Amino acid sequence: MSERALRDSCRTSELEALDVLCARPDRPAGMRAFDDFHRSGVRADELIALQRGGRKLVGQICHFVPEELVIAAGAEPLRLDQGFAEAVDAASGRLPMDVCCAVRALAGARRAGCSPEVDLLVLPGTCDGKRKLASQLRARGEQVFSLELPPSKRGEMSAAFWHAQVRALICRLEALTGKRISRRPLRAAVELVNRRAAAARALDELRKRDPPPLSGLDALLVVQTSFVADLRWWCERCESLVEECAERTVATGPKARILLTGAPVLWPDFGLLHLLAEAGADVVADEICSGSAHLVQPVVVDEDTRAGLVQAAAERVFLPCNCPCFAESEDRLDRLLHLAEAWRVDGVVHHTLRLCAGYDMDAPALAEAFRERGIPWLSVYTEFGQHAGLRSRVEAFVEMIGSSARRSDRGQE
Amino acid sequence: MRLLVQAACFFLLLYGGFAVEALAGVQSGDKPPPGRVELVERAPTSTPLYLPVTTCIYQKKGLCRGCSLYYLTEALVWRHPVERWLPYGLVLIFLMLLLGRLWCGWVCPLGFLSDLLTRARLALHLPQLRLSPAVRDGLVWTKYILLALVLGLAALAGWPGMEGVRNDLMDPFCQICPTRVFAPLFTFDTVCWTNFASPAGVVFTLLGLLAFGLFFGGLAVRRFWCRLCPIGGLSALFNRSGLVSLVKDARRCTRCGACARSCPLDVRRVFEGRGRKAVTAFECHLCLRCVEACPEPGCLQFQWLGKRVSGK
Repeated sequence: MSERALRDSCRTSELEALDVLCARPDRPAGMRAFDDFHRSGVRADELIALQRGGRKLVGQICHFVPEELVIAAGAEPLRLDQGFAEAVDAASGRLPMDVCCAVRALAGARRAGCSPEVDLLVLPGTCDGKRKLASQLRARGEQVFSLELPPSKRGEMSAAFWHAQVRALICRLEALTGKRISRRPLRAAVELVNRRAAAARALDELRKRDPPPLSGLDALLVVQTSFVADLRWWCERCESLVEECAERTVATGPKARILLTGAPVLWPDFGLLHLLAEAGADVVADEICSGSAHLVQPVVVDEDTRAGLVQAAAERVFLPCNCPCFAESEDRLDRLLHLAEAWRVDGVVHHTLRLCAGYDMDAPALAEAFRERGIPWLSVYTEFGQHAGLRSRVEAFVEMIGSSARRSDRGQE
Repeated sequence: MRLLVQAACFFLLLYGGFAVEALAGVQSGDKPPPGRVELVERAPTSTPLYLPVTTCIYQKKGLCRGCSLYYLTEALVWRHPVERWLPYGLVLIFLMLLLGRLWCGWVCPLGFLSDLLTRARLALHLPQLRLSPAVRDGLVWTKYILLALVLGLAALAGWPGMEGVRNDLMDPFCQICPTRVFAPLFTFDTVCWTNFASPAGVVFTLLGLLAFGLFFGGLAVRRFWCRLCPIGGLSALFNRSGLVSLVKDARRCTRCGACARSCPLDVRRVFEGRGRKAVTAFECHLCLRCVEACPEPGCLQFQWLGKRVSGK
């Protein structure tokens, strides 16, 4: 497929995904803004205009770049994770077949230009796939910064390693924009990021209600819009959506309240959530890196000094992250148990992108812990755009929950 | 709020003695020890109290007679009989059990001054110096080593036949404690800064100067002196009694590190505790900054006598 054709086909599949989403009944009116954002594609033009105006665009994969630093340096942060099935194929021949679809999609999208042109791309070393991809992209002439992660989050040696990485990133950002990341702009950027965290958290809190005032699909779209949107615009839209949802009552709830965890589900590939929705279940809480988990983390500033702000920002993205690329899995279990309890979920769906060893290795122990507590657990494996085969398993899972005593107990509360 | 409490305690402990005297008309605090004193037991102050904070025997008209460490020193040097030292000893243990190191975090005048140093640094937006883990963890033992040394020297000075050195060794920690400089200074008295009367006096004066300098390490390292202070070391022994307790619901914890970052003493126990309920550390001053910083509702709380006092 030519690059042009690939771009067109990605755009078509995005619009199709949007149509499916918009066709869902009983959505809050505030979702309109987010639908339009994706439908119009206005952001792409905006970014080009920004770039012409001299503003640098800094893209990142995953969420290990503290956006505070990018903003304080006077650049525009963008998170470029996407789930285009079309882009996966575009990487064929360049990457071995047993590399996961997220890395392949990334390589394909960068090659075909269906992900925005940025002045600097920050690739975290979460796995060998991304780590090695950095040099491939560099060879193509892209500016890539490899942000390395320690293999564990525990211990002060890991923290020291991470802080050294962030210092190197700061130097790179400052060199890119020619502007020093000093205390005052950093302070302002921290406040903006905290505004985002507060809005995302408020939206998450509303989903504790039964029935939730907005669907898991909508919530995920809102969250992932923040990856590429102008932060202030996003905060305003999300805040008014929160206001609307706080007032909103939904007549009938889902048959089952689901906690989604595991590998990222990425726009426009929301197939797994659609399957759940069609079976009558809804995702009310998530612990996926493309969900609200990291978005709700505020920057807790202890000392209003440059060093203090940088440290708080660096630790915000690193310490609470439950990516399986880190050695310890216990934190994720604790988090999941808390989410399951506080969001009163009926079942857990664990999602693994095929070939991601980390999530795959975590799953059995987590499943065991949930089974011990009598909470149903479903492990599914997907690749971008390939969910059809899961339909019957998902339906059976939701049916099982729907008929179980657990659900009816909750209904009587 | 803590700063207000600290300031109130500071003024109460430093100037309270003047007030008590004025109100009660007692003329008890008239004869404070003027520097190196002759070999006598020191004159009484306004109240015969000792607290587990830096209340100084060298201060004119102090509200309290001295600190918990001085209480022990006194009993050892003067070989007080059991019936004399035991009752107040029990009172001190009770006080330390009841409040743990809240004394350090909320009451201690020297702790208050340390926090003012931090405020001064922050007013200039200067970064703090974080000690490396090895140095930080090593310093923890300083206070216990000092404690053992001080009590050992005091016991030595009180030994029959040691009258010759008693004058030099009767309050070894006081000789280097920064409070001995500050407390009189804040009550308009500058005696007893130096003592070159004997070789031991010279040594202690020099050590005292060093300690006084170290106190200003607080400009770079938060609560630097507190990491060395044997009075805090005494209270620390009672910090994990369970009557004062930081309690963590590990399940709500996202490991975001806000607690570890905000801790003036770089305590890691609150952050690292997983599946643990009580996370109070010996080093913890219970200043409750971590409770304030924690972004997760219901995750961290401070309990006193088993009741929640603070925490979302």
